[in-house]
Amino acid sequence: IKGLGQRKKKEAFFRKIFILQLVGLVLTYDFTNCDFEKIKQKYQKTIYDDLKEYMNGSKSTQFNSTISCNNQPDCLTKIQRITFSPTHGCTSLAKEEFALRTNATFALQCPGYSRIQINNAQAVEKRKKREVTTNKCLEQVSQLLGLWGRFCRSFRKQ
Amino acid sequence: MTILGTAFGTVFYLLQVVSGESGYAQNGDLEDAELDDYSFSCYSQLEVNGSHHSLTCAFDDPDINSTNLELEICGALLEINCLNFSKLQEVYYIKTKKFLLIGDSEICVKLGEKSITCKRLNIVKIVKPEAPFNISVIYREGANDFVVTFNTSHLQKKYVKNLMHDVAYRQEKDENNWMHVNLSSTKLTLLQRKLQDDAMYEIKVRSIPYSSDYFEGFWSEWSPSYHFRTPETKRAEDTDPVLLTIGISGFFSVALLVILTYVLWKRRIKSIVWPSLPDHKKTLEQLCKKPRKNLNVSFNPESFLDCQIHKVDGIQSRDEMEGFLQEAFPLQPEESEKQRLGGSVQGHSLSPENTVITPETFRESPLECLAENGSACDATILPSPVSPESGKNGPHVYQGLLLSPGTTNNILPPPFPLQSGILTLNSVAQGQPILTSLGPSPEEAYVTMSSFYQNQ
Repeated sequence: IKGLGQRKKKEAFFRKIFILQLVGLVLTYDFTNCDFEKIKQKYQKTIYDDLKEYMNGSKSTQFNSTISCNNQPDCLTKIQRITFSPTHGCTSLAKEEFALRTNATFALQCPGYSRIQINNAQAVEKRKKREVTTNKCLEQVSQLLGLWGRFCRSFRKQ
Repeated sequence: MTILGTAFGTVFYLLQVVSGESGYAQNGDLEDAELDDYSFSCYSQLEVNGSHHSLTCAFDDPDINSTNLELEICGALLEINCLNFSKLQEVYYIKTKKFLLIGDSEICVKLGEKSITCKRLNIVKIVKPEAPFNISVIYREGANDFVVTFNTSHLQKKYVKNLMHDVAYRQEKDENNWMHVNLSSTKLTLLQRKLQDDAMYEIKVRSIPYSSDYFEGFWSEWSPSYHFRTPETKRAEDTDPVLLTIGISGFFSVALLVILTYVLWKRRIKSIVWPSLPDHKKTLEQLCKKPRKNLNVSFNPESFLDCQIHKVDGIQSRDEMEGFLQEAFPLQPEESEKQRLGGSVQGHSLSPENTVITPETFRESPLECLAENGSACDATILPSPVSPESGKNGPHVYQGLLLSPGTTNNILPPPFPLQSGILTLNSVAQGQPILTSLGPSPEEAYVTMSSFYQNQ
């Protein structure tokens, strides 16, 4: 009987993981149809200054840019993931000004983005709370600066 | 059930009618009129107080009774949905950091809980920059211009950094004649020649967000005016007449000099600048032209027919003369001498011993070589000054007379002094020509070739 109970617990655990992965897959947005020019303009005029202000005092060479992107939709996908997905050591940057502006930019310039993200945001709402700036968060913001820069350079080449 | 359903339907219909949303009112005309009365305008100022932004709104109609009216902004805000305006007299304002700066916001005029009119605005499109300040004008004498500089708080801001500035200046006496200059930097150069001299000017500046930038909006307020006076420049007319006079006089002087040079070139200047080679005949005439009364100068023997010619034998320096002549003149056969002398002398049948050579002879062929073969005379004459001492009391020695070996058969008649007119060639004894002077006065000097050059 004990063995049966433990087996059922394990099955429930793996089922939750599977469902969450499915939800994540469904809720991942395709940025192919976004207005990249306007996204770039809003980044250069507002989001960039917020990111630099967040990194205030930190040298740009302090962190290595380990994440790269191949094209504009790929860059935006990774930007979205790093900005809104919690990671170990930096649970959420979503409350920061640059994150809110990033979200608003995507919502305005990417058709259908706001509906999906609202649902996604609600799923993790409980864990949203502003954290003290940690070194891990600074590293993530440094990665964001790199990805945004790569996004703008990809746009210029096209 | 039917009655219940009808009651619910009526209630819902009445709720819709009473809702009071725009477009749902029954009396559309009245609503439209009221909406027009409550029209308002807004402008935003970003980072006006540190990181705080401001939004200011006011009704277009100043006569509106806004006692119970409130303004509310919703949308495009950080972490919140709506914000209420504060009121100061007739102006509504908000100071907050919560503007998202992305997307549109909705501003509504509310009477209580009822929204009278709403307006959709984008905060970044109604930006009114802060007025520039610290305008100054510096005159640069070396460059003859005025450097206008001013400052703006937007240079240190995060968002609205790119501005277009409008610099306006005018002469104080010209009321509305403003000159405008647009620039994107905070420094302007005004050329002095474009301004009036010794005049008072007023200058001011305002700013607007750069049109091609993400942020747009309205002109800022004018900066405080700055007043400056242009310097009184030195009148060019005071110095020009002097320079003009000097220039004209110099020009005329040069022209006069050129004309005089051209006119007097042949007469006077050329002879000084370009000395001409002496003509032997003329030179001899000039030598003989020295004024002396009763001096009969001529090379024509016929003019001396009435003169008594005496043979001069007792000359002290005869030996010297002979020695000198021996060196200068080699042995000559008598016959050739006769022929030569006969040919050189006009109309004279002279004895071979004495041959008179007059200046006229020289005029015709003074220094020509009398060679039979017509060979060129290689005589080289070295000028040397005639010794005055030897010319006074003693015999006159021909000096500076040399003949090259090639001229052995030639005879060069010696030059005559200015004062003596007659020379004799005395071919005596050894058949050598002896040149003697017949000049009666002791102060007569033998004329040598060197004196030709001296007299030049």
